[in-house]
Amino acid sequence: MMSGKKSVALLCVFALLVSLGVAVAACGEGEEAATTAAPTTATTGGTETTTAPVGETKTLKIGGIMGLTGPLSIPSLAFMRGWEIYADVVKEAGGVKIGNDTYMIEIIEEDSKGAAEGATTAASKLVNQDQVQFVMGAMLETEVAAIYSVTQPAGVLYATANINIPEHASDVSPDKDLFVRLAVSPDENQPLDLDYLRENYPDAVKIGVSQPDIGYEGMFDRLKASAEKRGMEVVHAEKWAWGTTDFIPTYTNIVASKPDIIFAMNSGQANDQLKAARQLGFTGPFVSNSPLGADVFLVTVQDPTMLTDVICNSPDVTHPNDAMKALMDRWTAKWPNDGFVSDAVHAYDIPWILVQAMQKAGSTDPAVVLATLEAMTNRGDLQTNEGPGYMGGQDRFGVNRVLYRPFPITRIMNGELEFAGFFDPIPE
Amino acid sequence: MKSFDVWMQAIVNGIALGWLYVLMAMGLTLMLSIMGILQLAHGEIYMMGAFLVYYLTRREIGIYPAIVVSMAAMAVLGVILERVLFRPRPGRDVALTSIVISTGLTLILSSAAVVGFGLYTKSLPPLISGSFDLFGAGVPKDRILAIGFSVVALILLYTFLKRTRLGLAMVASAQNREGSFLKGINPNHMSMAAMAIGCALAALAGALAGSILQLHPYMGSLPMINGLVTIVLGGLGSIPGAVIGGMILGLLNGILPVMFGAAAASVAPLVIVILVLLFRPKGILGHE
Amino acid sequence: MSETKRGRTVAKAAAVVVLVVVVFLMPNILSGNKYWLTILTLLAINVLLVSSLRSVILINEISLGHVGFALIGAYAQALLMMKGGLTFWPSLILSGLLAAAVASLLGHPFLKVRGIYFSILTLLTAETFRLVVYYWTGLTGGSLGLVGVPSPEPVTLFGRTVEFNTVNTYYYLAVGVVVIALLILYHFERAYINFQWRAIRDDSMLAGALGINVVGFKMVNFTISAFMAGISGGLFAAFQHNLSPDTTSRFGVTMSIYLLVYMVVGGQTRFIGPLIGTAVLTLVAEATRSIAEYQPMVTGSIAILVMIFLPMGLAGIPAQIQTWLRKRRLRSAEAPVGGGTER
Repeated sequence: MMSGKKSVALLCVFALLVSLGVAVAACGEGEEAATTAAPTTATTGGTETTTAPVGETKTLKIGGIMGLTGPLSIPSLAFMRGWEIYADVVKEAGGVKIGNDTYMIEIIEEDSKGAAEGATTAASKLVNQDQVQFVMGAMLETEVAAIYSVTQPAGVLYATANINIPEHASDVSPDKDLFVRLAVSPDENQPLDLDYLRENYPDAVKIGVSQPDIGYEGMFDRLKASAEKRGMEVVHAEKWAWGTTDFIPTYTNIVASKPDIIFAMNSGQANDQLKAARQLGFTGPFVSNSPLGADVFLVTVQDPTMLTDVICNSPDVTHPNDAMKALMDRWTAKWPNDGFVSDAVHAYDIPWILVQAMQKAGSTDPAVVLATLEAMTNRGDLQTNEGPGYMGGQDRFGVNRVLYRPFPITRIMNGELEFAGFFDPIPE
Repeated sequence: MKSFDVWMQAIVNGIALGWLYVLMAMGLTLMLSIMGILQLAHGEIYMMGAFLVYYLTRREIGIYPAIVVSMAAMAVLGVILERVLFRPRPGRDVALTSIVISTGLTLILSSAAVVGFGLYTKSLPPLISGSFDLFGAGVPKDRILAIGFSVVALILLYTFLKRTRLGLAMVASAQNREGSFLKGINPNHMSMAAMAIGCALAALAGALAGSILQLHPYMGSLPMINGLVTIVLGGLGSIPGAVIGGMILGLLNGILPVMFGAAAASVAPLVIVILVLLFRPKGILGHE
Repeated sequence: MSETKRGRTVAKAAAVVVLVVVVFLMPNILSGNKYWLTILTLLAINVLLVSSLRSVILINEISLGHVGFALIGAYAQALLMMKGGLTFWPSLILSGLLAAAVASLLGHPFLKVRGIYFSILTLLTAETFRLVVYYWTGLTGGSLGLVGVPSPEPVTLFGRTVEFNTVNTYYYLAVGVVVIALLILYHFERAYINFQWRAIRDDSMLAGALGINVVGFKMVNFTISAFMAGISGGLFAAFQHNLSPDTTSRFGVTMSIYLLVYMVVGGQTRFIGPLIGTAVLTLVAEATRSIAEYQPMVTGSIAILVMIFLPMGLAGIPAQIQTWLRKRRLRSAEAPVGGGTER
């Protein structure tokens, strides 16, 4: 039989291990906190020594909310790294000049746990404890609505990082104040992809569509209309349950409808969908219009015969433009053990665009910044990592509070990436 | 009306899914019947097993040896967990305590996976690629292979439980804990064996699923729930029950989405299991 | 003996009074800090949910489906106010009653299922409710959620109008409702009926033989418990203003299991257990917010360590210190006393 002492010793070892784990975690975080806090300390140091001739150096705090625990934690953490890189860039440039003052950017990151109540407490902490004037982030509609309900009454400008369903009740609208979407509508690239298909696969006209069952009907109708306009036809549309991991059932029906093209609507799991489609014998062009990286297809699908005629709207990390190249270099320098995740590209754009608007406004007042942003409606008024952007959406959402920018198109052939270029969104 | 091909594909996929559930369920049912614990971190063992296979294959080890090593490693982890965390302590409600401890373990392991395994997408090498022609319907080969592996693992387990002293002792202990204790069977040894076998099977399931589906820190939560549903459906502590439960659940999850769409496929299996439990409160093959 | 007993009762009552006073003065203590009031409001709502879960433990079953009743309550509250045109209070009572009605319909067949089967049965039922809400998009807005649940209507008290659209005032409303609900639950637990519930717990067969209506009592308990869970859902809906039936939401399986963890870490044998467990784990989670993705490790470790070292949970710490002290005293008084074997 086991002796009491032995079990006590074992227990102690476990408690020790647990405490060690916590200590390590806390230390790791301590380091991280030190790095993120660095701009602030550097700033205050700067003000003391180099008395700036005009204006002073201040710190602009921007709150960033993402679901860091729970199923969405992986893309969310990658997203936050994009923000951290932006703060680093500003720091190295000695700050950004807004009006007469020079600002360092400090991004305060909070966890929404991927749920409404977590987003509420996170936003409340940022607004009430940290007294930020700007909040960005969140991936899900329910988080967006929760954050907005905290930021708007406090006079804080909220820039959402994502909307899955444009025109949904939590999306931008004329009756919502201090709210802007610095993320593209996920369906704006549908016509571009269809044009690309017409050009490169002129004989392919029958489309099979796969969509999650979370309310993509509006986007599907747009896709259908765009297709018909181009002489193409949707022959089958299959919905899959949100949270699906096995796509064979979904694709059994799609493939059985014998389409020429499969269009996987805005899904971060398009790589798994491709695998299912190819395993069931579909060999035609497969389109994924989500930002899911083309490199992710290569890593996860692996088989070059499956990785042929795959068209995706991801930033092409193998053919980066200068902005993206700089971003990737910084990532590699900062996190050498982790391959670059392209979500950081869009993440970086958000604080960058906010700062561009502040610079143009010469102010950090949330209402003024929003008004300035809304007037930046000409192509090129905003810079993004993907090229010249602008604010738009008047005709679709009733307000010019949605980001428009070029979409990349990348085609995968025999397991190799072929970058087709950036394409401006077209009115449809 | 759906064509023959579609039916064929749906059924084969359902059977493949079902066997993965059976692998998960075997561990859960052994632990529940021998130790009386609800091991909710079983999904995380599955995830860790799959990631271990990933790291081993990165070190130029073939996927099959890697799966074997991972199963052995998880078996050892299982024994350690039993010894340190799940061995009954006096004055506690065993079931409640195990739920809380295993939830704590789930939190620690999944968070460690998010932090430790990095953000960049990872994937196991495919077991085999291409599809197989089954009566004219194209069926993915990797699923057929997964069925094969699971069946072999289950036959080995069954032989072990029916033909060896330790196995027979485990079965006795599962059926009647007090009685077997009086017969001189050490319940702690039985518990260790149950954890070891359960964790090894979870690692196998994780590796197979990680290869045919995806590798993700949260990949284990759904299979864990499905494993639990499988054992209550089939009847606690019964191996044939687990197989029947797994097949029913797998076929439902394989066929319903194809035939009736996503909504019915999500709700119907739950309702069916609820109804089965209401009419057979101890599962299909359960006994008092 | 009775002197000390009375003294203890007085001390207990005094502690409850102090606690209630502190809780009601909290907005002043925190000088209206909305962040902490948000956390405390959600905490109060969760305490009610966990306490309702605990009353199922009293009939010796583990429910993993209480979020299902909270979901019914939350969506009933939201829809009655948004589409039914009702005001806050009638909707709140109706949402509790609806959850209770569903529980009493399910209760009879469900309570025949025991142990792990009952736990899984309740878990699957809650998932079914969640999926029904998820797919009934016309009514519930589906996965993207129901946006715009109104705040409770203002109340005029002594000539002053109190609005409940900010957390500073909603806090009082939520805490008030939760305190009343907890008093009711406490009353039920203390009442004579409780003896019979205990009889059932200790030996259902014997209790049945003695003529106690086992299933009847279980039903009452299950229904009350569901009512309280429904009320907590209703409170949540009017506070959060938007609801979603996602798996990551508070209506998912994960939350069901966390509720159980809150309860057991606090100590399921005591009424105060859910309050202590929920408060400690929630506040620790907020205090360690800055470690972000590492945070679950802290919560997980606490849960495990409490289970290993505190058989009665956090609420049992005083009792445990007492027994420990008594043992030491005994040991020092008369050396050859065998190790206290607790069983």
